[in-house]
Amino acid sequence: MKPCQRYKDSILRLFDEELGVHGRKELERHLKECGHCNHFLNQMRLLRSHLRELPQINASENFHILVRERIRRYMARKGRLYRHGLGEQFTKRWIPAFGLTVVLAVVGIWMLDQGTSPTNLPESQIGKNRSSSPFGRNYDGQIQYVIDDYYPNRISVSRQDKERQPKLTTEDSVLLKENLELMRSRMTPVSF
Amino acid sequence: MVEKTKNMQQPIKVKMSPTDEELISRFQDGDVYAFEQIVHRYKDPLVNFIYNYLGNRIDAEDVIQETFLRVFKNKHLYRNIAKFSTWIYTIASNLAKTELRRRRRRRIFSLSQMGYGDKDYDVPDTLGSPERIVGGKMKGQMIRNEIESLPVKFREVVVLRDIQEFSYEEISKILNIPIGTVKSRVNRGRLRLQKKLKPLLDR
Repeated sequence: MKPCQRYKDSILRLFDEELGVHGRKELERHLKECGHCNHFLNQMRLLRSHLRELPQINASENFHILVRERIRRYMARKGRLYRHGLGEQFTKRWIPAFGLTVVLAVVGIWMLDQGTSPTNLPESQIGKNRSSSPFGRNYDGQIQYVIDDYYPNRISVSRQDKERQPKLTTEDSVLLKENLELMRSRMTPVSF
Repeated sequence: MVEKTKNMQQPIKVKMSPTDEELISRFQDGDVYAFEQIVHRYKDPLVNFIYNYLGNRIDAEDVIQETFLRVFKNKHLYRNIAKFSTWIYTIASNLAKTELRRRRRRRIFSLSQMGYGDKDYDVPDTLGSPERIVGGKMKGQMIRNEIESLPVKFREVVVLRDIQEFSYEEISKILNIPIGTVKSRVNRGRLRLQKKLKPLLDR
């Protein structure tokens, strides 16, 4: 930093009354010796007074009227929206939008049901999908079991039946065990 | 007791003009006359501020009308934790910045930006010789042109500090920048102006 640059900063701080007593005295001492900084101080003083004395720009005489007119237009727009706009908006925008959403939802559900439901896929396709794991084999060492057949023969005991006839026959329990065995045998280890 | 009070001289009521905060509070309660008073109080300082920002009186008035409309629309958003002047100047400066961006996008070239003598502004009626008036007008115009040529970040702080005479703290709140940044920008802006206006200041 040039020696005078420091004093220039001091001069700028002097204008904002942020220069302490010590700094002020130091600056005064410097100003007695340095013509360049003196010149700078005078220029800054002059600039400041010019800026403060700049002719004021006044708003035009009809400014109030223009503001009122702008507010009146805004209020009219707002009023129109409340009086007619909401009903119009509802009939013009909301009903078609709602109808379109319903149609899209119905079509989407139908497409899901028709095309991509897992029950409609051929058996080979299901197998393929299951075996293709993106992580390769023995991922993280975890092995999980996937049931090949979703619906083995099982005994359905509804709650009502249970309440009326709470006991299972030995035949039923044997059948249940067999079903469990069947399920276990059909479980194949799958790694992913 | 009653007689005593009757005989006592009635204190002279000093009619104090309401503060800005009182006015906006009254306006929030539905007093439209308070809004009129706000417009009356702020229209000239705001037009002056934005004129120095945009350099065009019509645009400045348009921005200030929009500012008052925003105040009207969003009166409920003002909370009495900040000064009203800070709030309204923030709205005005944000709108002025938007206007500057819009201009930059559309590359509007105003004829009034061509030369010194093409701009219109009101000079207060001061006594003096025609030469002095013309000289003052020219000087003022030169300074305004140089202010306008400053980058926006310096222009806004110089205008707020040296023309509108706001404190650094208020400028910091209006522009939402730290006080240190305001100070450094003011100083850099002043130095740039001093360099640009050297011929005028050396006279």
